Amino acid sequence: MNEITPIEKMLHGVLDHVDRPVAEAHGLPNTCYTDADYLKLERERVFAPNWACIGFGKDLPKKGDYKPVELLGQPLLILRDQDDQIKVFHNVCSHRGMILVEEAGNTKGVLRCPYHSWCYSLNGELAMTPHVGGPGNNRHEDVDPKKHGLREVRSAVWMDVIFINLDGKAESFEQRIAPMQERWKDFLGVEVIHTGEDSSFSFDVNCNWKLAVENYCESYHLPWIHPGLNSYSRLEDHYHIIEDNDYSGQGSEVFQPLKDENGKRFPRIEGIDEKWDTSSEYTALYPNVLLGIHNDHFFAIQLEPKSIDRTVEHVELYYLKKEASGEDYADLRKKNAENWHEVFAEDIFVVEGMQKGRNSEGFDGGVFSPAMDTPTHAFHIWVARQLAKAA
Amino acid sequence: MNQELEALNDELLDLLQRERTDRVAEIYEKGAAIHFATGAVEEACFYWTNALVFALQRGEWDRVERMRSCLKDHGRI
Repeated sequence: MNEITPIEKMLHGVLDHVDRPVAEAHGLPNTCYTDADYLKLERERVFAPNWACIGFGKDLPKKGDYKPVELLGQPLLILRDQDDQIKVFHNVCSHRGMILVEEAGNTKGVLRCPYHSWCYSLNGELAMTPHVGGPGNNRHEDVDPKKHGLREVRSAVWMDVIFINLDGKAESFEQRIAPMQERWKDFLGVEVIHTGEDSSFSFDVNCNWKLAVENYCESYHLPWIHPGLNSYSRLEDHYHIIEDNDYSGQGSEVFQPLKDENGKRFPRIEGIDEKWDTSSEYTALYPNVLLGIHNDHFFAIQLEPKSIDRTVEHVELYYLKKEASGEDYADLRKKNAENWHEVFAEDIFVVEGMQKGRNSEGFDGGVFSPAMDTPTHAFHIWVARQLAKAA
Repeated sequence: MNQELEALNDELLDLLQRERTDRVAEIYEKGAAIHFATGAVEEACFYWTNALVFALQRGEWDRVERMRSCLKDHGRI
């Protein structure tokens, strides 16, 4: 008789284990954090059928710019086309499967495969097939260029964050983003401005990507892990944010804008709900992007899973008014980036510690505080439901 | 990137978008010359190769030979 694998065993009970009232629920089991084979399953059931983040539009500022990326081993290519639209393709030549591009750059007209120089236009069409019909003959009746363009992946850009739906079967992006957009409708249509290197940083963290989500969406840990933050934004100043099956996180009711020694702050956007005078919100948009909104700046963190126990966190800060991108705000931007860097760095030992703990036979998912851990529980339910969907 | 090259690249994108490939090889060759003049041999080879591909496509055999020769001089073919 075939032995049941740890993954099959886990799948058998995961929904029942997790998707129940918070007081009775357990967290996702250790297999979801430690088993390399499980990651393949996660790609199929958690990432591919949903809208996952793979990068940021600011990395492709000009028409013809491209950037190779990977999503759990899938080689992809982000490209800004002639109409200034972001497109995503599988990063592979239709001919012999050669990787098309290995480094970011600009197409300067066409994407040319380095192997046999098959060329693709910016909309992915196969444009050139030199010698395909024999030396000097660039056509062959059996190789129809219309059938062999690059394979496009459904993509969308929202607040400069690039999302893809790998299996092409998810709901429309408009439907997917609607609840988040409704929550942050005051920021709809606001141009988010990235100012370059002073607003980008990353962390290479030894933890499963889900631990970064779990830690981000609860405020329970603030008093112990973020003493600086907690000195003005206390635990009791926070509220939970939960949108079932979509996102969860936390908000603060005592947002204080960063100021320099002269009291100068980033220009804020006006005409929005007065709630935003003092509130800021931090949500994890499932599966892998963490967002933060304030009346003067915004940030997005792409969680790039590298392996079952390694994640790269790409942090990008954006400003909501053009003036903030000027030289006279350079010092304040630097300070803002330093502050957020410090806060996010404080979380590293926690997520790495939880990763180590997931190897313990004395733990297999733990419990949730019914008062403080509901956003984390909501995320676990979402993951468990994705896993169970195709089971 | 210098302005001349930027203008060439914009023109390339525009022509390719409109599927007007008649001048594409010529423009790539021009771009290669600009890069080569500034010592950017890698970039020049990139443009020469694209010029070669488009010249082949259109049967511009003089240009094909010229591009082959440039690439051969730099150990590319």
